[in-house]
Amino acid sequence: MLLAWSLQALSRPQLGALAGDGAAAAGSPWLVLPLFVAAIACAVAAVRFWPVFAARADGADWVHRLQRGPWRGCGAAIAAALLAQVVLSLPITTLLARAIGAPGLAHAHVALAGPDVPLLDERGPRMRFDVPPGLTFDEVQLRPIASLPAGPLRTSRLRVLADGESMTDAEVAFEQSQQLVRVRCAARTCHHLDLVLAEGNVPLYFAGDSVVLIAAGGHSTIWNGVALAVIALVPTFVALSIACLCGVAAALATVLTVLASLLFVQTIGEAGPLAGAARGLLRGEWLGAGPHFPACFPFLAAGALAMILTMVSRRNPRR
Amino acid sequence: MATAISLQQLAVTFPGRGRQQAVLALQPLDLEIAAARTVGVLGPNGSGKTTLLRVLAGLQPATAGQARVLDRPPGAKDLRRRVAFQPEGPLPLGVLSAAEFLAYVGAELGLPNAESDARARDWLERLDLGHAGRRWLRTFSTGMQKRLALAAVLLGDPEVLLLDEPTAGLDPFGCEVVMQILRERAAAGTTVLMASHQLLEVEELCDEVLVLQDGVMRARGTLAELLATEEHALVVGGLDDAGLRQLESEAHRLGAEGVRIERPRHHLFALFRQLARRRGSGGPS
Amino acid sequence: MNTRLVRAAGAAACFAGAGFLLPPDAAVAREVAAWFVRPVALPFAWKDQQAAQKRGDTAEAFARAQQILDLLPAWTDGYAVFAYRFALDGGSLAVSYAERASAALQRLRIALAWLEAGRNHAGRREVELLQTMAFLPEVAVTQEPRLAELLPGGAVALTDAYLAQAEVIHPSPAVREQYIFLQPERAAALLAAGDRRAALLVLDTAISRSAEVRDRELATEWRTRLDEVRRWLRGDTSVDLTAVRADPRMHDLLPHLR
Repeated sequence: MLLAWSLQALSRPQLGALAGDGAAAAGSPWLVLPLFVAAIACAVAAVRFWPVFAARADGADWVHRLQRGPWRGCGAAIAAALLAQVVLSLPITTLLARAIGAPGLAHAHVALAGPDVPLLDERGPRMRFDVPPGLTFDEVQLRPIASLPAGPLRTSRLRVLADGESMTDAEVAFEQSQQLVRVRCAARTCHHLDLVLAEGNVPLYFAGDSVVLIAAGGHSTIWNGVALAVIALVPTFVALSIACLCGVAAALATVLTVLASLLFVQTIGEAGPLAGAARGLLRGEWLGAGPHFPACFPFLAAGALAMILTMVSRRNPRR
Repeated sequence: MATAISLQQLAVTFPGRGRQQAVLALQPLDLEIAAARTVGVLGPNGSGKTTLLRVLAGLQPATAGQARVLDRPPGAKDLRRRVAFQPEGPLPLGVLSAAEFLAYVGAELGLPNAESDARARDWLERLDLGHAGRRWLRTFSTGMQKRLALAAVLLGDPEVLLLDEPTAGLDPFGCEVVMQILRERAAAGTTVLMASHQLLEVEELCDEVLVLQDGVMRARGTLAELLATEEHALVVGGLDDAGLRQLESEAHRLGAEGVRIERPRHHLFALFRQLARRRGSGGPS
Repeated sequence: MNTRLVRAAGAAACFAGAGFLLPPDAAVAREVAAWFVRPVALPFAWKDQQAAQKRGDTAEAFARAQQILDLLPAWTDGYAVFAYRFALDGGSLAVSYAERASAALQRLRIALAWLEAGRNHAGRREVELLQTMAFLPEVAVTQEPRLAELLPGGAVALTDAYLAQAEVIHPSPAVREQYIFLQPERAAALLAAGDRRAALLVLDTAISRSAEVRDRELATEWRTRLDEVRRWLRGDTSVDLTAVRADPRMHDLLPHLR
């Protein structure tokens, strides 16, 4: 962790006052790398300590004879590895994240669902989004997908209305697709958010997360760090579960290779939920409310399936 | 006498993979071992000794036939404590200390903590490991691991002991300790099935012997049955050469054939055993 | 005496002596470290930068671009591309026009500062980088017109300064011509700021240097147009400004020729 902090401190980008606008997310490699090291240390320790993770490991017969559960103690070993990883990860996701530049408070990002055909153009210049009741927000983020206009391009300019009241004195101009525009305001609630095309002919498509409200109330970044430490357990659980399945027939070297590869792909390779959650934490996004935890479910299901297959395989050993 | 171990046409075949052919580790085997017997299993490497023990321990499924231990299938849950298996090879969980390892075994066998700790202390002392109770297993020598393994299998006071090379790697003093313990267990009624290459120990400990070769039982019987010869040995002391020649002549006169006069030698093992007993009793070595 | 201790002390003394005679160069050490880090880190850094760019998060995209250029400091085109993207992102703050202009100014300053840092690694391509820096303010003002009010002397003052530096480093004919053709715009900015004397000086310089324009016909025409403007500004209202008014290159000066 110290090495990661010092390396990122040497290469910290010079952005001055704009750093508060999400530039801290560029430091996500310095968060993911130490978490990867913690994960692989705990996972490798579990595999090397518990002989049942690999076929024909030294002393495996002792454990097979004594442990009669469906996983021969691998479940407990996995649980212990995850617990150890949480202990190692918490300083990284709380203290190191703050050192890298994570904001002191995290805010929930609430994506608004638009109409069935969320296309804003000259034929349908007005679009309404329903705001969840009771949600107090202080920023609206717009990120539409721009399409090609019919005829010569005239930049589309929108007015953003909350319950009919304009939120800005300047119209919001979109020149390119997925351009992020932040509309800040005093903390407020409203029932509806309307987008009105004031001029221009660039069609704008507001897909699933094109309109996001940033909640005014903040959560401590410590709790956000705890949430990230929990999400960081998912790649380890998946890797250990699949390693446990491989260990029914494969020797230690193969199991360790599979384990390391799966962890690398899910963390540094960004195939798992960790990288997105790390970026979210550094952007000041409250992980408890966003899509990061739901994104873990497919991976947890894969891990659970691997454990079930392990149980079935061990019931019918081929040795 | 009750039957402790029973095999009926038991066979084990390891399936081939790719270009490797299937291996017939144990050919159909019929065997019955009565309770409280000590049986040695001998054979060259790859003869199926370990496979036989692993089948009886419930770790290797049989391809054909049936095995029963204490009238139960080998993998039965209630046999975990009644049947103990000491595999060959190093112990697992090398970062545990000896005491912690025995505590783990005791917990898995369902022993109450206090009783498990007491038994563990006793066995560690008995096996000359009392001084190493807090050391990590990975720092143990091969001999120390073997002795600790024996302590682990005896912790639950089993009725059947399945031992794979229990004295391999032990110094003669350690061998003597182990053998003495096994004699005591046998006398107490424990059935012992022991695979070993140490022929002298098998000869001293076992009531009967099985000989396996290529998965087939080539011989089985008591030592007396297997090793009997037509010859008799007469051991005398206190005669000089003239006296010995006179004795030889008398034997020929009585019709003996193939008379030989040899000066018997003690086995080296017997010498060490003698030394071990003296060490144990505090006498001069 | 402990031999190991003696050996260790001897080794330490040798290293200290080597360090005194040849002090280690941090830049060299950094470059060597980069050799090992670069092939591992670059694919991920590039992917993350593209993802941030696609997400529209300008600050993050620029920060990741800086990480890429830290690994590839000699990639001059990269400095240019990422600096332009950052400076011209279109404005991510939409509360008020004033705040948008202020934000645009800050982005422009940061982009130019970063490009300045890139000059240290540009080598023979420093002139190209300066030319890139020269035209960035004008493009930014085109995108955010209110930005011009916040730039002292307008965007053309910055353009002029950078092109002057480029001319000092590498006075190629192309660079000289760029500088020369910029002068009407610069004179117009000075007139807009009320500095007629400075504007006339600029026009004097532009006329005297018109001989450096490679195209003879163009050089003559250029000199003639500028001379007409200079005479009019000096009070000679009899000058016929028809050609000047028709010349698109003189467009910036027209509001001051009434």
